[in-house]
Amino acid sequence: MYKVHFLTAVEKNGSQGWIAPVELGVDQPQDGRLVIPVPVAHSGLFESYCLEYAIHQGIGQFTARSVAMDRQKDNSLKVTIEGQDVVFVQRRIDGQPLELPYVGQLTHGDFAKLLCEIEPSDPTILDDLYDKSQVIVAGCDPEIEYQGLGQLLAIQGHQRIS
Amino acid sequence: MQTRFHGTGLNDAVAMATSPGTINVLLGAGEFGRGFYTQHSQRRALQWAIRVKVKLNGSPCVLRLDIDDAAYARLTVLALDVRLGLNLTEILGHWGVKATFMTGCCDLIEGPIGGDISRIQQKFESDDAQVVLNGNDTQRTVN
Repeated sequence: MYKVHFLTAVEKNGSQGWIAPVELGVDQPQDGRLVIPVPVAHSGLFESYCLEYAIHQGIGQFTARSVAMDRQKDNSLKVTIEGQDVVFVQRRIDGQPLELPYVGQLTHGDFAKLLCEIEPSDPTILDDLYDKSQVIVAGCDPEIEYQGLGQLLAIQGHQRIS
Repeated sequence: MQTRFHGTGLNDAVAMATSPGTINVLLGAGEFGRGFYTQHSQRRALQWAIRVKVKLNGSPCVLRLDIDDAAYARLTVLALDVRLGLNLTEILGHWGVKATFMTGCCDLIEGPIGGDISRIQQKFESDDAQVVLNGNDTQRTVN
């Protein structure tokens, strides 16, 4: 199943693309976006995606969970997280979905596709989910899902972020 | 109170939260140059920390800062809109000085993350800002 990823938009060699936050240098923003692979540009979505989230259970303690997110007739994506229905839609800029290639150095099957940013249709629902159930929608875990991270960190000299 | 969040690793968060605090505005960097970065959203700070945890000093967590309103009001804030924020980031990137740039004329810069006005970040950059963050005017909590 295709995955929901947490990536950051960057400019590389004059064009925009996605990269994993863990690949970025320490002078980059503490930010990322939820993105999903799409079949081809401007063609809609795959039928289903796996969404990973964490439950914050105390200081530095998290439980990882995942759930299927299904495409609806209106091309939105519906998922139930800890009993709460959440609808995601493609984020559009000037009417167009933000679809960019992955331009980082890690490997994942989804990275061969264009990746489209999604956002909840209700802009406050993820904050509500955190307040009520301590849920953090975090996308793929790069340590588990992405290949090449160890090599990349060795090249970067294990830069630590504080 | 002005509440801000900084995503980090547990060992660093605990160290920064001691009394007095040990936040060092010279160590961090980001879109607006050198400084200590915070944001309004605990959820987003945690989300980011979870996905860079391999680079953190300890488990992902957030340092919560509750800053006294009067102390915060004494800090000089340079507020950037989307255009100015993106322009500053582009200029710093062009000159390769994101890790070193400080305005020298304000205590903190506030502006959008990546040009998104719904996501606001603060960069504390001055000695005065560091004193406020580490002193009794700020309650530092690890979450």
